[in-house]
Amino acid sequence: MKIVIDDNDTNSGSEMDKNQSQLIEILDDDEKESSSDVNKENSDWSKLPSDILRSILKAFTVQELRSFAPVCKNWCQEIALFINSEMTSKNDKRDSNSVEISSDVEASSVQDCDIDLTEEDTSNANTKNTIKVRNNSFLKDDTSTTSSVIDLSDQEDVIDLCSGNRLAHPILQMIPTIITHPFSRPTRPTFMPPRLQGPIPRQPVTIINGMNLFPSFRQPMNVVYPHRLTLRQPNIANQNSIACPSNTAQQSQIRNPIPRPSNLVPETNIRNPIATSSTPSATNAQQRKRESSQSDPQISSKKSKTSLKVAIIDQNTRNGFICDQSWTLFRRQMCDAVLKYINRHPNCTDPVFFYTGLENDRRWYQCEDEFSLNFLQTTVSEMGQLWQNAKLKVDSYNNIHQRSKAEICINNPNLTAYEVTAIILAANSGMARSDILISTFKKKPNEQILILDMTQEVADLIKKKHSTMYFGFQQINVKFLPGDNEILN
Amino acid sequence: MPNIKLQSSDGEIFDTSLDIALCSLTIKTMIDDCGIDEGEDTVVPLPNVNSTILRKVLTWAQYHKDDPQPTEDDDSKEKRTDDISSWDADFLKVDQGTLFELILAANYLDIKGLLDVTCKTVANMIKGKTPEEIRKTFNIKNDFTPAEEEQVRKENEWCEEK
Repeated sequence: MKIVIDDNDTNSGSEMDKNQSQLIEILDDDEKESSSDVNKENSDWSKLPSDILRSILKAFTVQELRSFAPVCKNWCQEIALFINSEMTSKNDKRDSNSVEISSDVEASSVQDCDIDLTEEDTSNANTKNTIKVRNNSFLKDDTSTTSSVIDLSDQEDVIDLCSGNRLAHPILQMIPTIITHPFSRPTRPTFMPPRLQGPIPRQPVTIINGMNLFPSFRQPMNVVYPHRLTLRQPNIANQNSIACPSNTAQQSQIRNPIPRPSNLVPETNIRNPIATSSTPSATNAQQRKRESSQSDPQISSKKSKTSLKVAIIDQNTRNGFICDQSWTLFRRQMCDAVLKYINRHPNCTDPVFFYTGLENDRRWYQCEDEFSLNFLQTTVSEMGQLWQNAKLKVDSYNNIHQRSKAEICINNPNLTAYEVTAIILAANSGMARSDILISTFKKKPNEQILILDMTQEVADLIKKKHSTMYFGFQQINVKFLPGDNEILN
Repeated sequence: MPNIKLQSSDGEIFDTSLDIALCSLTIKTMIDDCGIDEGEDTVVPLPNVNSTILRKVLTWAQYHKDDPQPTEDDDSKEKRTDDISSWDADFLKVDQGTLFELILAANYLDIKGLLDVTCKTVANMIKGKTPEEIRKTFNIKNDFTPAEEEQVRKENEWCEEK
């Protein structure tokens, strides 16, 4: 069979439609005849090639995608990959609109800077646009105040306070501000610096929870103190430049989990200057914290010290210890989770927690509030096996520090402490290695005394088994001690 | 415009206008690479497309031959699925097997417009359905174990906004 499809006769609109419909009818008849050509049994939608499936997935929101993720394994996998790639691309877009700190500029160099945008020599036809950057970190010593003037006359698109042209100079690109001009432009009391457009030449660094999201970028960026940039209005009508009042200037803060010096009060959140522009004075987390502390300061302070401090433990290791390599992996994963959350909930409060270090073999996080704690717990529980045999858990400060003490009498003097703990674990499948901590091990002529620290859950589990466990023909007896004092004695 | 012959996987030969055939970037590349001259009686084999589907593809291409080429900017636009023209909607009122083959053919022949519209049609078929309903609609076998399915559901529940 030979079919000729030629468009020569079908140029006019209505005629073409008619011809098309005739053609379709003919084709439909043909299809009826040759319906066996399309093997419907072989149309396995679960095995759609990934590029096609992705084209289909594009039409959905992340939420919709997740709702039908459990259709089949292939779709589930593709959806996960698609969401990840979408998130990555969104993050890239967000970074391009966010404040960036370039690799060649030390973080300290942008703190406490005053920037004067002035027009030099207004009488001259060749007006020069300049930016004066003065480092306020030296202001304590009046004699050593430093300033530098950057000539922008050769820049094609210098910042234009009225029209909101793009920020051209790298220094200006670091201004995450809303700039108000109450004096010069009453009809335009506020404007936002325009979003940076086009490719940004330098590699951006995003700091969340003290982690650099771009592993290739190894600058010592962990400690970034809040900085404030004040943009002064241009010298108009021969007036001296008047500094904007401090409350009208954009105040910003880079979220920094590392404890700051107490005299430095964080002002705003730099994470998304556009999103935070509506509330430039304080982060949501801080608001939450302030509200809760106002309502009940005692409870709040107690919570911040104890219940909001948690350890991330690997239940399959002694004391829940996580090695440095695994910890890096964990933090990257956590960082991804935080970013995903932020992307999904751009207008919601953000989880805030920071790593306080390694203590008693455990990695500790301090959460800002209950919400952050819940987020951390949920995320960790969702992580699953990050590395081989990993069994991650968020253990509370109270749980670790208020463990039950149990004395175990072992009739067999040849057993080691580790063998004993192995027996306990084998006898109680619900237990994790990290739930038990060997506190004391005393050897006596015919028996051994092992004192274990254990979580309340494990203690309850052992008590249910009448505190006796068997192995082979022998047994171990667990006796719970009333308090810490007895053990210490 | 000269004609070109396209051969489907089942040996059928379609003599069609070159500008219609050039809707397919695959065919365009083949013609460019092989250096087929005008008027030459060369047959372009399309081993991945059978005659039924190729006929439909050519019908679609004929109707849309004057459409502007989709640009890369179109990719970055927010995707909508309610902007399918009535002609396309009627054209794609086919059984699922045909729709599936059309998607594969559009992908193989690299006809972006057809791929977009077929994918949108499938997306519309999926929208608002539960996983179970989607499986039923597309005759997809559930290859999750109950435990795996539960885990996936749980993971995705967590992500749902409440």
